Amino acid sequence: MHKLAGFVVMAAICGALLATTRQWTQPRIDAEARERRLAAYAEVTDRERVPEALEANPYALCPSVSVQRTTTRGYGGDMTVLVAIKTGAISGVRITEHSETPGIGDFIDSNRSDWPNRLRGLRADSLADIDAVAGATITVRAVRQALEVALAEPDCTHRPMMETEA
Amino acid sequence: MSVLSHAAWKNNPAWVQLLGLCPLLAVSNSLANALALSFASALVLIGSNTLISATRSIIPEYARLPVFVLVIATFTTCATLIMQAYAYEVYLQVALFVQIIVTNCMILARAESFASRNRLWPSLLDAIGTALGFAVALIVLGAIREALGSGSLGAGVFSRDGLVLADTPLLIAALPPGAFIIAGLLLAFGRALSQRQPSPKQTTEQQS
Repeated sequence: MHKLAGFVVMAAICGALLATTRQWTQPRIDAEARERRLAAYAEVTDRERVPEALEANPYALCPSVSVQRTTTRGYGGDMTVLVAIKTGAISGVRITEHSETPGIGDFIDSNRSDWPNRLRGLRADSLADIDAVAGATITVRAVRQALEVALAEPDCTHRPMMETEA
Repeated sequence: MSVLSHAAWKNNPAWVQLLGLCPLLAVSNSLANALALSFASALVLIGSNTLISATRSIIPEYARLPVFVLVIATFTTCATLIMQAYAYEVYLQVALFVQIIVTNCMILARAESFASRNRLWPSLLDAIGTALGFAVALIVLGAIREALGSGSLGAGVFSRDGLVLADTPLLIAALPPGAFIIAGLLLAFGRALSQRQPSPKQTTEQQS
């Protein structure tokens, strides 16, 4: 047998295994990820469930609340923040994706700390009031920047006319 | 059956060979995490041992290690995908440690020292035994650390909060130093037990 035949056969077996597993699990993984994204939207707006359209249209729940999704750069990479806004004030914040240092950056996870909920009520002019966290300056700055961007977008009362008609 | 009990007990990967300690210490802070990693490790071990044993005649002798690593990496990726699909919440907790199963020397050691030299059936038994041994070590450590460190047992397994045992847990048990201390005590306890009925063969084996 040629020297390389063993390698080729093994590589083919491994490749086939991977392809089969991926084929089998992909639909479930996609569904799971969508479920999670919608769950985050539901949590940030304090609702049981939200319409799927909210992902594409931040004003889908108007006139009660608009939800902006912003991405900023944290300490360990990109951070995705959902911000629910009611008449110019923040009514909920969830950090859905991040790669902050485990342990030090745990406080931005609403399951582990109350910190994200304490951001409620902030307005564009009171963002300087955010509690700093020792050792996590960049993380906090990234969240603040995300809030700034979200609050700069029009809320339900000021939303662009096109969105209302759509 | 002696292969099975030898792999699981006398040659327990964690307590006797002291292999795979990195995930053992890192993930054992709760029963749920311990179960998840046991499952993933078992899947990779059984898969890689079986495949390597079945194909041992065509794996080139001079380059067997890269082939073993390829096989182990394949099964690790499969385990990752399966966990993502069927246990996403748990997966997020232990994601990193599932992925580094590929570098777990316990699995490579079984491939090199057993599966590549034995027939399919004994290799499968050896993998099951090793996986069981590792699972027992992980679960015992996980249960003790969760009970002491979080004051609960089985949170996220039976119910959301599990069995609540105490309101003021001993935080250190959930932190890395606690893992070392408790693992050390368990190891000492196991040694004391096995030295009480010494069999000459067993002692030499344990010292290697």
